[in-house]
Amino acid sequence: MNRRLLTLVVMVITVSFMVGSSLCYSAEPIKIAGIFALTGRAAHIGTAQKDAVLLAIDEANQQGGINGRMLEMVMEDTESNPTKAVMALKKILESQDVVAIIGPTLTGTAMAMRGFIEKEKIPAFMHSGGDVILKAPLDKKDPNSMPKWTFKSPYKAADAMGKICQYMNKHGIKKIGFVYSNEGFGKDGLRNVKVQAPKYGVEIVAQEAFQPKDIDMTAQLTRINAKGVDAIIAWTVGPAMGIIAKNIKQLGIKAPLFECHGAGDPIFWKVAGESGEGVMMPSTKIVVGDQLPDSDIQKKKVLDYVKAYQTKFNREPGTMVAYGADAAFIIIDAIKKVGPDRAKIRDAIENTTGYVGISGIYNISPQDHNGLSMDDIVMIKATKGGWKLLD
Amino acid sequence: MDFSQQIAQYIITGLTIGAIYAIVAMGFNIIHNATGIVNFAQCEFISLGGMFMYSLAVLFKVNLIIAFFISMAGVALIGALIEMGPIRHARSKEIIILIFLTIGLSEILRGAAQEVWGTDNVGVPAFSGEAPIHLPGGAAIVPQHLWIFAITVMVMLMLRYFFKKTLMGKAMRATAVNRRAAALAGISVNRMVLFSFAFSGALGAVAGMIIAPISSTSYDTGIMLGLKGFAAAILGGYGNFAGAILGGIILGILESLGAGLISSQYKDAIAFFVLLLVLFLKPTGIMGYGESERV
Repeated sequence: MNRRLLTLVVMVITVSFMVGSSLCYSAEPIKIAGIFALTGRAAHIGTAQKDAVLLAIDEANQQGGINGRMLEMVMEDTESNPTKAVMALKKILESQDVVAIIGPTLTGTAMAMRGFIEKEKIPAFMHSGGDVILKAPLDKKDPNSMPKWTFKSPYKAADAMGKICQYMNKHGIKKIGFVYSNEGFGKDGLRNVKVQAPKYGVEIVAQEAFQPKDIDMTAQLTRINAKGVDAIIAWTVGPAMGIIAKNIKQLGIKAPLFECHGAGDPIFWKVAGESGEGVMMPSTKIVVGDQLPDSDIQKKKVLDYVKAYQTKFNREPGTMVAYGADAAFIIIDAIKKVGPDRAKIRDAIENTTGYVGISGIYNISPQDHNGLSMDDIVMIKATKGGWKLLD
Repeated sequence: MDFSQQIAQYIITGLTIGAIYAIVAMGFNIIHNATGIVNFAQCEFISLGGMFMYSLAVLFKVNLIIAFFISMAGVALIGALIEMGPIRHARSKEIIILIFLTIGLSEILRGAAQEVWGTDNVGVPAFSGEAPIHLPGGAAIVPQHLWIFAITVMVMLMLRYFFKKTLMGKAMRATAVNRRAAALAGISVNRMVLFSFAFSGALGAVAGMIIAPISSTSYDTGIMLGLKGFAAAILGGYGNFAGAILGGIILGILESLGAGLISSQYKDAIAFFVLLLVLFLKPTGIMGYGESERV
């Protein structure tokens, strides 16, 4: 009898453990993969975007997660390198059960990961600057093979260029010189400016290239200046942003300088120093939140987010932090709506309309996997170590 | 800006960049002469110079002149440690193995620098302001360019004095010409090799520091400058000091004129095409004497 009782007790305990662990199982976190350039040349962007995503996930978890399940980001580093990016992606997909992907940071890494993502059928919200990840067909022979699972959160590079040209048109700038870094991003800019400039009556009278690691661009700028330009556009990220600003001051060139939509970041002041004063660029509203008119429907969201970012990380967000935040918010919203199912999340993202984000108002559709428009972009001017909103 | 002014600007720019290449090339040459190897860690000496300068001058607000000399000494010490550790204790003294050793060391130094400073590019204040100076020919430069010229010339003069007039300099040259004979004459070859690494570290640091205010600096800025400096050393004649200066300046001016007059897209290609052409016509470089000198 005693022995029977003991068996019963053991059985009860065992069963209760089993029930308990299955309860734990149902509360297992929902995993999202975060793949960023945490090292390599785009490390400053990737790290900031990673932080932006973490902040969004923390916020959701503090509000109790999704149906009692916490969110968790599984992180990998692309090292700013397309091959490493694909390896990171495979590693995550093979070892973890993730419902969506956020990232990567660079266009090159995004292009390398895209085919694999489409094959695996997992929704991915990328931060790639280049539009090519949405525009280029997956299969070169089939022009209709457009990506189905790939989205991108930054506004289109073509719109950023359009915004600059529109601004130039408004301020009577007619003849411009274009200087670009001789790699993917710079060449993409060159293609865009050739399309956008004529739309706004702006003529490109000079175009010059430099290598991304060059330490002096005075030769290129001298050549551009000799053509008598009203303004210069420089399309590059990294130290060259600062070198060009310095070289222009050195040569005494009076034409105003415009830089790309990635320049609105604290790193700009680190590389440009005093010479950065007066440089203009397209940006998300995140760097000029407090200067937005009260009528701006994004203002509250932007200011709240910036405050949370500053509190958590103790530094100023750059323009590209917005892309990480929006990608995370939209994916979290989608999971809240439809649950942790890859295909349903994809559909929910594709049906996001009128979403007021940090980067702008997203109207995503099957035809447009980005959803931002030129009106979401603002022009800003580098002023005294900070940014001034232009109109 | 008329054409002659443009040409003046291209040449001035080329000279500045060329001066940096020349200093880097000198660093390569000093170690080559003492040991016969190519020291690829030279690239890291440049980055470290810039980053030390940034840490001292920007983070710790040390006076620029003091920061300059501390950084120089710091990188010289790292150079010396490299020699005292891995290079001296390498089991094999085969040139090719020592060269690979320096490649490995360079990776280690770069990785360490990345851990310490992160990957961001950072600026260093110019030594004396950024107000442009307009030269009579119509070219414009910033005061930092004058510093680059002045420091390069001073470094060259000091090196010349050191190698021609001082006992230690002569001993180093003797080691370069014939190690065994030098050792027989009572010269401590090990010590000469040690000094050559320290010198080369200091030179790399100087190059990294004087260019940092213009180009900003990061844990890996030295790679590109190092490779260009290496090309300059080869162009001038590897191991030859006058050749290093000439090679640096020619390479700098070629790049600048190539970008300004022909095509900015192919400026490196133009410069390296000329480099190949020179090596094709005179494989020892412009001022090289060939192998017969050091047997």
